[in-house]
Amino acid sequence: MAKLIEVKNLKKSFKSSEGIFSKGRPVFAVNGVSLEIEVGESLGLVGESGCGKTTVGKLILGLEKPDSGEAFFESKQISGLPEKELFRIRKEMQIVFQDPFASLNPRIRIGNAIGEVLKIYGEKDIEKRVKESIKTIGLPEDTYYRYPHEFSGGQRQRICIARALVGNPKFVVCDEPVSSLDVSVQAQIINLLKDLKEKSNLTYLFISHDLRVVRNICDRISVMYYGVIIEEGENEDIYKTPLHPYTKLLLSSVPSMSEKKNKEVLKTYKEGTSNLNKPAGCPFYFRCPERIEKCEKEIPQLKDKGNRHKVACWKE
Amino acid sequence: MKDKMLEVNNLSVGFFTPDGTLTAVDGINISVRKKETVCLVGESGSGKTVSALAIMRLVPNPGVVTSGEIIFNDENLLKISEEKMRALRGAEISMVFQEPFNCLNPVFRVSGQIGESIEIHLGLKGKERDEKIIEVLKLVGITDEKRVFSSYPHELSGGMRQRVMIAMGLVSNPSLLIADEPTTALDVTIQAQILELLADLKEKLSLSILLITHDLGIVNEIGDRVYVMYAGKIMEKGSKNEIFGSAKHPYTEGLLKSVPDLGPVKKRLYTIAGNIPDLTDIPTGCRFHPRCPYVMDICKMKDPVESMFSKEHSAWCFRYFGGEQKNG
Repeated sequence: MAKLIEVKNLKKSFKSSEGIFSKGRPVFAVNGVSLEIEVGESLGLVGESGCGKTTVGKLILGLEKPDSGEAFFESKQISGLPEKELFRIRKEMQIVFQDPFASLNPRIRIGNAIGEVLKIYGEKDIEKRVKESIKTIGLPEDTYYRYPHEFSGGQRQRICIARALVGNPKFVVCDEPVSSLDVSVQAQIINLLKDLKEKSNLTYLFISHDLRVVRNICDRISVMYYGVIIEEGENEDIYKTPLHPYTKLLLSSVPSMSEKKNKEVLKTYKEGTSNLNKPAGCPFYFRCPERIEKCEKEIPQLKDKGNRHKVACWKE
Repeated sequence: MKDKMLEVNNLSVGFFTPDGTLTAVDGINISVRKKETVCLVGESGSGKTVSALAIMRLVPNPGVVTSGEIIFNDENLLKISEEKMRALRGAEISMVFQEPFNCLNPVFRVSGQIGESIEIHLGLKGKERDEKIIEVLKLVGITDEKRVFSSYPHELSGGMRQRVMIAMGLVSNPSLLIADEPTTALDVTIQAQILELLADLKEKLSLSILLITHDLGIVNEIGDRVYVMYAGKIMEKGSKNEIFGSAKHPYTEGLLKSVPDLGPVKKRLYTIAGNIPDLTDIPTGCRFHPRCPYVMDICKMKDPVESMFSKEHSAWCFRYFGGEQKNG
C-alpha cells in the first residue's frame, strides 16, 4: 500500500522552565521518532503524559517546526515547504482536539465554524456542504444556526469532527478525542470515527493515553516513552504478545473488565522520575525490572522482529 | 446489621440556583460495612461527588441537604454540631480528592502539611510529630521518605502527591476513607500503583473505603460492592460479581457493554443512545427512560420501585416489576 505519511528521525526540544540550574537547558519532547502511516490505516500513538505524543502530531501537521528530521506527506517534505505550499497541503490534513469546549469559538455559529475551512480555500456551495457534514455526524439540521453552548460535550466533539472532515481531508490527527467524554458518549464517538474512516477511506493518527480505546479503533500501534518509540506493531501483536517491558507494564496497569492481570508483575516496576535526569542509555532503564548492564549506557534502536513488530530493547 | 459503618438513608441534595432548584442527589440509600470497598459509579452529573461531600457535610453553596440521614457509628451526622463534625472529619472519616495538584499548599513542605494534621488530630509535637510523619509516609509506600518529608509539593510527581494526600488522610487512623476519583488525574501505570496501595491499606488498617469513580475497570479491580448512579438516583446495586456477571438494569447493562476493553476487538462498540440529562430538566418517571431500549409506558410516568434479586442485588426498573421479566 502507498505511504501517506512518513516521518524520519524527528527531533523537537523545548527549553526547560523548571529548576534554577536546569533552566534553559533543552528538553527533548521528541527525540528521534520515525514512523509510517499507509493510506487508509489508523495508527495509534500511545504513551503517558509528557511522552511527546501530541508533539509528534503537531510536527506532522507542520504546527511545530522540528529541530531536525523530516516529515513527508504524500512524499512531499512538510518542514521545508514554503508557506503557500503548506497552506495547500494543510487542507488535506486536519486535527480533532481533546477538549471540545475549548476548541469551538463560543461566539461563532456552528455553521460558520464548520464552513470556515471551505471559505478560506475559496470553495463553492459552502452552506450545502456544511449541512451535509452536519448530517453525516448525526446532528439535527438546525445545528447550523446554533451556538456551541447549546450542545453537550459529545455533541460538540461531533461538531469538531464535522469541521475537520468538511474539506474532505486525507489525513486526520485525533488528539485524545474521547478523553474528556463520559463512557456512554465515548462509545458513540469511537463508532462515528470508525464509520467515517471506512466511508471516506481516511487515514488516522490516533493519539491517546487510553489503551482500551486504541485497542478498539487502531490497526497498528506505536508505544512512546520519553520522546522515543519503544515498540510498534499490529494491534493484535501489541496486545497479545508485547515485547518491551514498558508495554507490558502499561498493559498490566490498565484496569480491565475482562483480562485478569498479574499484580505481582506490577510490583517489580519502579515509579517514574523527572524528565530531566535521564540515563545515557535506555530511557526506561530506571523503572525496568529486566534491565541489564548494557541498558544503562547504550540506547537501544528499534529492531524488526517479524510481521513489522518492532521493539527497542536490548533484551529482545 | 451490626457490622455497618456508614448508612445513608433517603439522602437528597438540592442546589438553589437563580435558574431554579436542581436536585443533584435524589433520595439515595447507601451503606458501607466494616473492611469493605464500596464503589459509587456514574457519569458526570450523576451526583456521586455531591453524595460524598454530603457525607462529609461539605456540600458547597448554594447546595443544601434537603432530606435524609447519614448514620455513622450510630450517630446522625446531619444532626451533630459543626464543632463535633469538624473533630470527626479527618479523624474518623477522611477524604481524598481527584486533583493531587490542587489539594496541597505549594508554599509549605510536605512535613508541615502532614504535621498540621497530626498536631490537630493527635496533639503530637516536635520529635514525636516528625516520627509520626515518617511513619505515615512509609505506610503509603514511599521509600525515600526522608526526601519527601522535606520536599515542597512541586518537587513531587503526581503519584507521589496523591500518596502524600492519602498519608495525610490516614494520620489519625480513620475508619472510613472516601476517595473521590483518586486516580483520574494520574497516568495509568501510577494509577495501578495507587489502587494497589488502597487495597493494601484496607487490609492493613481494616479500613472501609467509599470509592467514587466513573471507570468500571477500577470497580472490577478493587470493589466489593457497587452502586450505579444516574442523574441523582441509584439505578442498581449489588456485589461486584452480581453487577458484572448479571446486571439487571438497562443502564448498567449499557455501560458495561459500551466500555472499550482490552479483550477481543469488537467491530462496533455498543452505544447508549442520547445524552446525559440536564439536571434542571430531568425526565419524568424513570430518568433513564428516554435512552432505554426496553422503555414501556409506565416508565414515562412513574418512578420505578426496587426489585430484589438477592440479599445485595437490587435494581430500580419496571422490567422486573412483580418479580417477572417483561419483554420490552
